[in-house]
Amino acid sequence: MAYDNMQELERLTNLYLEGGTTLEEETLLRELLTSLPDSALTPGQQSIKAMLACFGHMAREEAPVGEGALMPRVRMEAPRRSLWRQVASVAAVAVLGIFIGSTLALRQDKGSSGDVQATVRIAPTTGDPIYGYINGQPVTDAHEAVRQSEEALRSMGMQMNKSAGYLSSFDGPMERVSAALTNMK
Amino acid sequence: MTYQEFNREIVPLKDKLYRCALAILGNRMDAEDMLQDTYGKLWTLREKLDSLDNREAYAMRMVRNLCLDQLRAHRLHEDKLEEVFNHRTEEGPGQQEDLKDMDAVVKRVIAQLPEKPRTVIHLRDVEGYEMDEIAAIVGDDPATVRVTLSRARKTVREKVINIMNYGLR
Repeated sequence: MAYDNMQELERLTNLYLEGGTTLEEETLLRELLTSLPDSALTPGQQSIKAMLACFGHMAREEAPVGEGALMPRVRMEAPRRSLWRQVASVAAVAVLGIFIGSTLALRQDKGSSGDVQATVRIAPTTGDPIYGYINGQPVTDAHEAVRQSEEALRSMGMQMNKSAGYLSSFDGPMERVSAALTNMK
Repeated sequence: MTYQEFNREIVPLKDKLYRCALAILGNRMDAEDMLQDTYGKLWTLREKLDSLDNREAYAMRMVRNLCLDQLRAHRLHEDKLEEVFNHRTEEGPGQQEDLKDMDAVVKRVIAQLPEKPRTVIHLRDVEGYEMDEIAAIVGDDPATVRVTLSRARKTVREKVINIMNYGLR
């Protein structure tokens, strides 16, 4: 048995050095060499045993980067909207909806005194004036409508990483709308 | 090839690609950078990957070519590389301790091989590729690959025997 093993080892060793072994034969050669003590091997076989052991260890080496570290570079090229852009888009649509609602609800014309007068839509069930809609719910309080508009603009400004200072340009028209709504009452 | 397909089929090759780059460049940081570059290029060419029969061989060939480009860019030709590796061998800390570690000895010997035999022996003995796959990666025919592999194995064996008998010189 031992003699057969040594003969097989000799054959596989020679074949291995000629580059003629199959992957299965190389596995068998590795097992044979591992099963025998160094004292039973020739220097050439000991050398091959060391080589095969080293190759086995090298094959277990892993890349020091995780799969995630490889994918961001890929994601950069894949079209994808960032979260803040999505939030800003939603805020913009909400603000636009409120302004359009206000524009439709408030019909502005100048009276003899020069004050702004407004006509608003009336809720059919409660009889309250409707200044706009938030999430589908009618806003019947004028100051709440103005406050919500300002809040939405401010939120949008923060999402776009800009100062909210430019919102002051809206103060004039907002005050006029607010005054008109107060006069209505 | 979609993002998901790329993630499923190409990204898992990262360890093989890294080891191949390490075998050629001999430096972990360079191999890591090369891995990133290779994946960037593979993603750029993802449409082409759809039409390939052996995407793994294509990726391995790409990483090898990129490594060779880098070596050429740094003007580290074979002689220069050998000089660098010898320099490391001579001045590396714990030289005598390394002699007790046969893995380190074998790695030193392999690192001193010219690039092609080094790559061929790595692809066969470490990664377990078939001859025709190695031929596709290195751009030779299988018979030539076998000869290259045979010479590389014999060279490594002889050098390891010498080191075992006489130590590093």
